[in-house]
Amino acid sequence: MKAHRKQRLFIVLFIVAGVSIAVSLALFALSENINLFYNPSQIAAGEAPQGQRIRAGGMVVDGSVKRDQQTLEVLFEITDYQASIPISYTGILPDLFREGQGIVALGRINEQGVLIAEEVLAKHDENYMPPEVAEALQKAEAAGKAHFKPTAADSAVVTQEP
Amino acid sequence: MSFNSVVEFIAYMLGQVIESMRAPMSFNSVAEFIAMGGHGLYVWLCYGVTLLALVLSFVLPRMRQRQLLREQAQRLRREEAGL
Amino acid sequence: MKVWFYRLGSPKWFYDIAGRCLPWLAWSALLLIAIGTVWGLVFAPADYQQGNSFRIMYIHVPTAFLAQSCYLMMAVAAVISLVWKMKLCDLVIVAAAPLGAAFTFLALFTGAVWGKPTWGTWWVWDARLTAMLILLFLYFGVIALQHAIQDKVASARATAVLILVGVVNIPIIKYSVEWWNTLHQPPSFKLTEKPAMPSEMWLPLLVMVLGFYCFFAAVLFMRTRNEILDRERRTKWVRELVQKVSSR
Repeated sequence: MKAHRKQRLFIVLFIVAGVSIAVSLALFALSENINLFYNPSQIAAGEAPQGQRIRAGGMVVDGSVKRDQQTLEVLFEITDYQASIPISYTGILPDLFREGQGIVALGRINEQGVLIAEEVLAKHDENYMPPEVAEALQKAEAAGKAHFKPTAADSAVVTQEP
Repeated sequence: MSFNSVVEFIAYMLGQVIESMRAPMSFNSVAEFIAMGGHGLYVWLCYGVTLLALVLSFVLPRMRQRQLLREQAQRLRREEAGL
Repeated sequence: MKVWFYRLGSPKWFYDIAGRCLPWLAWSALLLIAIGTVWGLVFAPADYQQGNSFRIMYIHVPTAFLAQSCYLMMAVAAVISLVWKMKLCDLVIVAAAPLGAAFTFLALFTGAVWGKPTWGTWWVWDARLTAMLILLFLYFGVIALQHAIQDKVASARATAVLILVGVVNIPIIKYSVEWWNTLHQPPSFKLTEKPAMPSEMWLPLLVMVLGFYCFFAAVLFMRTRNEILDRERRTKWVRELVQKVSSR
């Protein structure tokens, strides 16, 4: 390679490296804010700001969903298998909302430590399967033949460190 | 499951292709197909917009090529006439 | 190797080769996309949770792949353009930018429409979605810069630098779902692992992805040929070509 081309190549590499370093520093500094939601254990540890609108994400705890008979209010708990927090939501839940499903709730935490949600979004995982396969898996699990490993979204909610 | 070799990977892929050749249709009627289990609006909106974008991005450059060739042919003729 | 490299840089040579590849690419794109669409819409089973709305995946994933691949290709072209001053690379960038913007828009649009029934929202400012929106604005920036500077050489250099600066966004898009808590799920496909769905679901997707790549190549070749025709109109070979075509 001729000298002037080599020099230009170095300039190009320098630009890319410089910008990458700058952006990664910026992202590192902002990494708290880039997370869309806090895990229940982060909230339990007091990492989430009090009285401000925050998002909390986790799996809906099995058997925790209680629907009010008169109003649309729903009470449930979400967990990351280390801590869990109660959530209260009034409104229509997304189709995918169910026990064991990953969700993200936007709202404020009140004095009792309950997150009063204004919005509940369903977080689906990367696994896709036909209904029959899901049914067969469930049957097998019920029969105790197969150990249903936690899906990646479960572990994603649990393991993702900020 | 992970693959230990390229051969293993290819063998797995081929097996899956053969396996999936036997899939039946997912819908029993045309109406059911259009409805998409209540998600018809979302599915058809996506496919419609994508089809439109693909057709446009294919047709527009073709038209531009014709236009460019026509313009340049005209310019050549003008130059020849001017000489 | 070196001879090959410089031959490829010759607009005339590229014009001929691209013209010869074009019908093959266009027909394979049509065939693959047709097969993939029918397979994905009619024969693939519905998802156990999302039902039939998951069929949007068959266009969302290919367009999102292409949005990023197109940018990476532009970045490679930008390096070659800056270091070796190869004019063809500038033309490829001019031809590719609007196409990349179109695919990014499609990925965002299909994602939004898919998000409404599954997540419960059209849009959320999570890291993956925001990074993808930045990609769209990068494409817009590249297109705007190309039009803003009249001098071709200066315009090509400025555009190439902008593309290289923006290339940091690509790994951010890819790893955003692993680095941060996002609403968008992690990838279903990894090179070293079995896909997180059965083959009757991902095979149509594979066909669609291949079809979209062929389509991209075909349209990119068409657009680059147009740029060559325009930019090289004063050369002898283009004059001869125009005469040959118009006398037909």
